[in-house]
Amino acid sequence: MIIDLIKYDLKYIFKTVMVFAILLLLSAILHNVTSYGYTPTILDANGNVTGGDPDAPTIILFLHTLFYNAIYCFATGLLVNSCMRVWQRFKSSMYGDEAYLTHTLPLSRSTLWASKFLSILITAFSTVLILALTCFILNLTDGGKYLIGGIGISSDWPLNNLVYASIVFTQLIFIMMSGVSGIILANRIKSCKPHPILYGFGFYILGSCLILVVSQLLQYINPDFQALFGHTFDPYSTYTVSFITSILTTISLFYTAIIAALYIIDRKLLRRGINLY
Amino acid sequence: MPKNPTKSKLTNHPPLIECRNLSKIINQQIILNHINLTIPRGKIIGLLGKNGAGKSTLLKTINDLIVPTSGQVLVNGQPIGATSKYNISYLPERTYLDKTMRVKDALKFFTEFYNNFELKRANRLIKDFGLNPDMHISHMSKGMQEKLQLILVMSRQAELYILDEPLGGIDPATRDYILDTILSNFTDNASMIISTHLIADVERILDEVIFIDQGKILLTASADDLRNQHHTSIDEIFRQQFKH
Repeated sequence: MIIDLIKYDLKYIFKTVMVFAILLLLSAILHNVTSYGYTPTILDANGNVTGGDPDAPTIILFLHTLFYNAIYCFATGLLVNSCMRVWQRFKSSMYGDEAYLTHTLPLSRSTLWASKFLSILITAFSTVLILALTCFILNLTDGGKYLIGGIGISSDWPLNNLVYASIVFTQLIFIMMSGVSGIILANRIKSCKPHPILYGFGFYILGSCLILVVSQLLQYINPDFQALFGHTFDPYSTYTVSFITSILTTISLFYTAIIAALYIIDRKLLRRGINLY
Repeated sequence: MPKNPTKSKLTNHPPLIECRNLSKIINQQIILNHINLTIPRGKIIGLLGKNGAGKSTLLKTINDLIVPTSGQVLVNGQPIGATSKYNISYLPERTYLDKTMRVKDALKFFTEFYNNFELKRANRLIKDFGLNPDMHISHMSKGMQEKLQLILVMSRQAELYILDEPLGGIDPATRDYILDTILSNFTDNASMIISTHLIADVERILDEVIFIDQGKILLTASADDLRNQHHTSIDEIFRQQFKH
């Protein structure tokens, strides 16, 4: 029965998320196609164009720039839409009109919550997978490599990329969970007016501050964090892959711990019951 | 006369529903005030009261949709849980179906989640009510949506049917037909609570009545006894009771 619940949740969430996913992948492919024509961003140390055809038609240049920007737009849209759909689905099925059906299904609240949590995990995982696939497609051309290199992704650092993906994955779950926790808390403590956005934002700020504080404290134990927060840190120097991996892995683990805490809090709040006025 | 004479055979069972000292306070306003109530098996009970009397809140509390401030609801002697939800078929006062679904999707949904859902019965009722299985719920009128919900609720083999304002959006000409449908699809030994303002329409099917006002149970009585005692209809008794 839990699978059926997840199925209906994902069906709702992916109805629009899939549109952004397809547009993003399509933009990446078309960006690659137009990259073969002219790639003004690939320069050597002396500033000479090393890739593409400098005499490419204006239309190719225009399309290349268009798809370059489209990738950023649709990637942002995908991330935002994933979160919005998760929150929208959670609110309507747990506290909206549909909640009259959801909460009268022959299921325990724990099962219900587990299904919602799994839906969040699957949505976040799928979103990261689509982003990873986009990066893979872009990595096939020089122009694409330049684009993803700008956000610190390179095929030369596979481990770093994996950690990068895991931090995006955990952060995405953390953002989704903050919103969901806000919705649950708003229903539990409201006297009349709900403020789920405010509570959700509160959870996000609280979680982020906690990560920052723990990261600060970690500088006394972990030499990488000591370098990051200490006087020796130079933002313009190139750091080793192991340094970046160590930092990102630790932060990813913090996010996981906070997600686990939110899961337990939300489960307890839900088990105390809901109020559909 | 009770609609289900087999009820007497089940006297050893705990009551179907038992509300113990149930209270609900919202914004310092008492919505339910120390309600003690027992719903027996095999009866059709009318929950009657004015707007804001606490009818819907009581029904929501029984369905675990509202947390009581104090008190307890027991279903078959057990606190509300997955088992009790399986045994209660609830029709809320609002439309709760996913609007993106078609009629046949809603049937599939109920088949997946309720083992006691009878698809054959539902399909027959859909045909009787003139609904199209391929129709989108979002394209249906409010009355049609209410009919569909009623079909879904009445197609379950439940122990208790709770209908909150089942005739609210139904035109007067169809109400009798709906009531007959409810009666003819009513499971043996099951009970039913109907909350409504339209007393004149439903009173012919009621075994018992509960009058509720300002969150308090004013009266619980057999419908026949009440009529004999006052020599008038339940509708008239209600009007006299709640006269301003």
